[in-house]
Amino acid sequence: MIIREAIVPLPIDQIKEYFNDKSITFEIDYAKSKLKDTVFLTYLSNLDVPSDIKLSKDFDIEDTYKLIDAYMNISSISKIPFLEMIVAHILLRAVAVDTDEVLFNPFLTNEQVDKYIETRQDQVAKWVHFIDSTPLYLIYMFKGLNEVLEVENNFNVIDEAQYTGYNIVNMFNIPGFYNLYMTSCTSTTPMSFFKPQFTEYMFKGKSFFEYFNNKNNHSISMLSLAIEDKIPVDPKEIFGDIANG
Amino acid sequence: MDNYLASGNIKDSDHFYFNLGFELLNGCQFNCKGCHVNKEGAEPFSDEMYEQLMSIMGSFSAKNSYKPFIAFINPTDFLSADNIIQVLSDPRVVKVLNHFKRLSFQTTYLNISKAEAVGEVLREHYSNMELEFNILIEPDKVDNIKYLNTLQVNQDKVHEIINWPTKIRRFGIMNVFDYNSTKIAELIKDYDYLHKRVQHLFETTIDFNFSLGRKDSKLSSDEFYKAANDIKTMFNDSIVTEEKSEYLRFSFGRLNDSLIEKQYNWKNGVFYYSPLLYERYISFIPDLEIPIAEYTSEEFEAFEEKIQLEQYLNAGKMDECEQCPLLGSCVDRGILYLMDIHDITKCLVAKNAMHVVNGMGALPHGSN
Repeated sequence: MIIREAIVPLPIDQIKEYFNDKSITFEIDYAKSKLKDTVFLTYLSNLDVPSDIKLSKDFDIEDTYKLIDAYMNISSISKIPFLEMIVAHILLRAVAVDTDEVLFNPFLTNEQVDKYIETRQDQVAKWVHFIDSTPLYLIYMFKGLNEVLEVENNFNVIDEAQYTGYNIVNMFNIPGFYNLYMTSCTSTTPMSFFKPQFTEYMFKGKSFFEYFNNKNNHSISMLSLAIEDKIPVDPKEIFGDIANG
Repeated sequence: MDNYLASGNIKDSDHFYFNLGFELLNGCQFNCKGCHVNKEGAEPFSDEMYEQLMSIMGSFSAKNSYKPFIAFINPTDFLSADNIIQVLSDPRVVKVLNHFKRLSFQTTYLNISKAEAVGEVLREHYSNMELEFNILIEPDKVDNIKYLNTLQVNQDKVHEIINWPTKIRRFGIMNVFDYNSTKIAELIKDYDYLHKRVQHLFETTIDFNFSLGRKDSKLSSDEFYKAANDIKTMFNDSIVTEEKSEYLRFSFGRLNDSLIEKQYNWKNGVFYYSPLLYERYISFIPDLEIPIAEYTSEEFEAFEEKIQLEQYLNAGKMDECEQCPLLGSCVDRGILYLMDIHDITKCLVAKNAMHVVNGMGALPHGSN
């Protein structure tokens, strides 16, 4: 992989260089970039080339928060590891996971994360609500199981494509995040069936499955094996009396 | 349905496509509604024009990551144009056009008497190229069976006469004008209805041509907005389901339609930027003129980079653009630039249709 330092918008010459060498990843200097916040992310999402953000820790914290706001609210998808890790930090703190043990040298301090959560409670709560509800999607994926549980009929249905920003799908491909979140979190948010997110091809023309099922999230394959009795786990032990909400 | 061939993502591409519209033809016996073409506006092709165009073609080449793709032979009905044979057989024109992969013409198919002669000159000078014939259909005649039959019969006859070794691509065009001025306004404004009436005549969908951009002076803000908004309303009202999205090429539907495809217009030695608003917007107003002196692709790129940045920085001044996930696509198409030069801040794009076509989740009820 070749790293190319850049600002956005990318000069045409750098795009041409990428034409000829697809191993290039652009490391975007956010502070020097001419575009900021939502417009910055929209540009990167539209360009859709491998990229990450470079940001100094002394960058203004309020401007950093604005960038995170944009990432969590935008209705497009940008694959930016730097922001994924910050949001993972926020979500884990929001559900009371001790992040000191799992995040090494995070960009934001715990105090900065806590302040973010405190000042954006509704936004963070929506992300937590969605992730907390993903076991319903897991069940929904298994026809036989869902014929019994009928999650779309037995849970609160949210029919709002823009309930959270679309970058939420990136969370499920962060190594260790989903497992840690689901096994450690103390959230008590009631699960909901997110109708457009779970049933439509709304994420850049792909279904949620394309993002949820990946090498860093084994929940679908584990449940599949359990259902086929290939591992000694009864799905009912995992989900309990889930049909009753 | 075929996708537009030049659509694509940066990550899947190794070059840009370069399209150029040439204002070469003069003369047309028809007066189609909504047509604002200057039928005698093309100056004779000169040696100076030839030298400049050859320099451009040398620069928009593989060494600079470009592939010349479509040469649009504008602006009149090619089967009706007075100078079609003279233009296509001019050795200088032949040399310039042969840099491209495809020649694109437009016609009403209402007079095909020159088809034999045109076929001969095409076969003699352009036999290695693809052809594309855009059929211009009058929207207020879609219920006229005799008219539609004439188009069908003449189209088949022309294709037979031209006898091209590869499949001639067929696209459909309708001029944008005030459809309320027609007797079947409500039917015309129903895209489904229009599409079903004429779909047998071409491959994909109807492209809506803003010929009014060709007027001598810049359109007023109201005039421009009304035309764009009529089409926006039609697409939003007619095409908001995934089943219908199969119709959509509409030169506009996919987010990446303008990401790697660069298109410009050339008229009498001057080059113009060509935004993509439902169809390529052709206008020869000074705001769209590309300042060049050396006739190189770098000068076009400098212009592109300048207006790209301007559009992104102006997004906050527009009513909806800054927070809109379609912003990048609209900037690529130059739509915010068109809005800016026409003093418009309201959205011109059929966002409901765009969301459906691009699998972005339907917008909440009441959105447009």
